[in-house]
Amino acid sequence: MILTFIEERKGAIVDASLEALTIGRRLAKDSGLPLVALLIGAELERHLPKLREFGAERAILVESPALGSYSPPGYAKALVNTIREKGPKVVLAGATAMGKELLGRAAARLERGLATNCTELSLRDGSLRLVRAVWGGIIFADVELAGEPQLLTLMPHAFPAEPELNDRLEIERLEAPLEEADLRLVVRELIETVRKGVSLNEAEVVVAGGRGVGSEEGFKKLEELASLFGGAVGATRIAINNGWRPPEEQIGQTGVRVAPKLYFACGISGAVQHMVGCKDAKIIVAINKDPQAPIFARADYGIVGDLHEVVPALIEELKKAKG
Amino acid sequence: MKIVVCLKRVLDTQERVEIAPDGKRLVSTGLDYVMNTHDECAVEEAIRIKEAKGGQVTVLSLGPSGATETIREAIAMGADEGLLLEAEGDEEAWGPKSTASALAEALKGLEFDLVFFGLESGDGSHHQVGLAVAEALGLPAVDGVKKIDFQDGKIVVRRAVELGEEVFELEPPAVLTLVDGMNRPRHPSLRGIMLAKRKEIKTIKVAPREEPLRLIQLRKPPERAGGEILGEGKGAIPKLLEKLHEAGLVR
Ligand SMILES: Cc1cc2nc3c(=O)[nH]c(=O)nc-3n(C[C@H](O)[C@H](O)[C@H](O)COP(=O)(O)OP(=O)(O)OC[C@H]3O[C@@H](n4cnc5c(N)ncnc54)[C@H](O)[C@@H]3O)c2cc1C
Ligand SMILES: Nc1ncnc2c1ncn2[C@@H]1O[C@H](COP(=O)(O)O)[C@@H](O)[C@H]1O
Repeated sequence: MILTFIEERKGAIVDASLEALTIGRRLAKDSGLPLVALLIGAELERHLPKLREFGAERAILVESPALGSYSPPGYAKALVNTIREKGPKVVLAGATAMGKELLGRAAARLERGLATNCTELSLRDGSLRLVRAVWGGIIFADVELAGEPQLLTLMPHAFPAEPELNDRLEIERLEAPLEEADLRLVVRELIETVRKGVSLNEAEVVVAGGRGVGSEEGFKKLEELASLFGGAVGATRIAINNGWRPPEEQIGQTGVRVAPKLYFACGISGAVQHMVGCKDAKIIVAINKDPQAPIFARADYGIVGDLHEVVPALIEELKKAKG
Repeated sequence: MKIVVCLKRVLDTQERVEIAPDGKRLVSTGLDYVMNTHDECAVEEAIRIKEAKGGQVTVLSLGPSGATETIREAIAMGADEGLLLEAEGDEEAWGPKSTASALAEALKGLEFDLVFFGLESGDGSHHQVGLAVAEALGLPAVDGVKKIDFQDGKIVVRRAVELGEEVFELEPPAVLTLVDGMNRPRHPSLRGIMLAKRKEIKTIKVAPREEPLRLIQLRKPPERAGGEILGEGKGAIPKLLEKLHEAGLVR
């Protein structure tokens, strides 16, 4: 079987898991193996319609009130136990904080290899060809895993999530042989980030600023531009190191990766470590005063000029257009 | 508090990275080696805890003999001791499994309350060595920590997840993997640099075990094709709006 770990947060299945289900379905078709979704936690039945919508043939539920709060070792035990009992050929999860952690622990406990952050995968001659993003994403690595099961995490946004309704979903329940020690480490609290607008990950428009913005004050105009689109602000490592923006807003190799419809790069030189974070944007617009800046070779549209002049003027024009 | 920090020496990838003809590594000529960015924050955090509560910071690195320089950088920042696991065999034989088992073995011989890792290495970007070591040693671990507090003998940590932050509480001995951005690593003082130069770095030779994750080849991702310069300054805005209109992004 192809086993896909399904993550739920706040009562909903996360996008990364739907992406994993979609890719799992493709693997299942290519290999003739069944696509099985694994849910761990409490009150799991409410998620079954979604699993059916994404083509799962079977759902394994490891349900217990003790798993109502996320416990990394407890969930890892439930996952490892399922793998031991069912002997899947492939185990997939989205490379979220939870997915990475659980597969990392499972790989160690099962003494198997783990390929993290896969951006492509295909089945050729019965074996899996994997592509991983390495060097923080600036290089791709073709890799393979020896032995079974093959454990993989998939880079979020690298694969589309496409529904394909399955008429029948078989349901199986498994017990997790949990001991007290497995649940000693439990999440005490989830502090949700209060955002003024949309989150960077979900924003359809991102306005990012770099050293050229010059100050914390300078970012005000970028915020205004972003809000005109209902978008979010991002920054380069230099802007963050200067204390102009919070670390969560760093885009790039050691920050977040975004894939908006529109990305403004203001006062950003276009270093590869930054560009890996935004290369999946549909349109990149660069505003930079140096016509030689590498960003112009990596953006769809460029404006050569001082951002302190161009951005306010652009805001004015957009306001006018909105009326 | 005795803290061991596992750190990796990585190539400082500048604007131009080239893949070596064998497809297995990057061309290192002209590039410097640096401390992995997440690990540098882990060193900084360990030193701050030592400064606040007393104790000792030991750095542990697996790599070629040149990695002693990176260990010395950590000592120059304020770490007390360094241990190098000198890696025998080819660099590519040292995947995450091999690395984790060698580090776990070495840690069995060290005294500690906490072991710090970085979230991921800048080169392999595996994001698994820290957790694998924690599992091998049977220690509680929290992955991706951005804040550490001490409350009545307990360690309270916050880690970043997609929705915000999760809070965990654990007791030493424990493993934490830390993220870049949680602090700003200090520059070594002149005195620190002098001290580090004279410090003896213990070295143990280690051999890789079988690695299930095999590298076939490295390649460059397709580059985004360069675009169109719309003009200079404010004058380019009408053209930009036209393009955004065509793309359905503005009315
Ligand atoms: C291991 C590693 C990981 C890294 N990870 C990241 C990462 O995740 N994210 C990241 O962003 N960086 C990362 N970096 C850093 C990266 O290499 C670059 O140093 C950084 O992205 C450059 O930021 P910048 O473009 O803001 O600054 P600069 O490179 O200094 O560019 C500033 C640009 O602003 C322009 N400018 C100046 N004034 C104006 C003005 N008034 N109007 C218009 N334009 C102006 C200049 O012409 C210049 O092109 C990493 C580096 C390493 C080694
Ligand atoms: N060769 C090494 N020597 C010491 N620590 C390492 C080594 N490789 C990885 N680590 C540690 O493990 C973390 C995660 O690495 P990785 O799993 O490769 O992404 C790094 O941030 C380091 O703290």
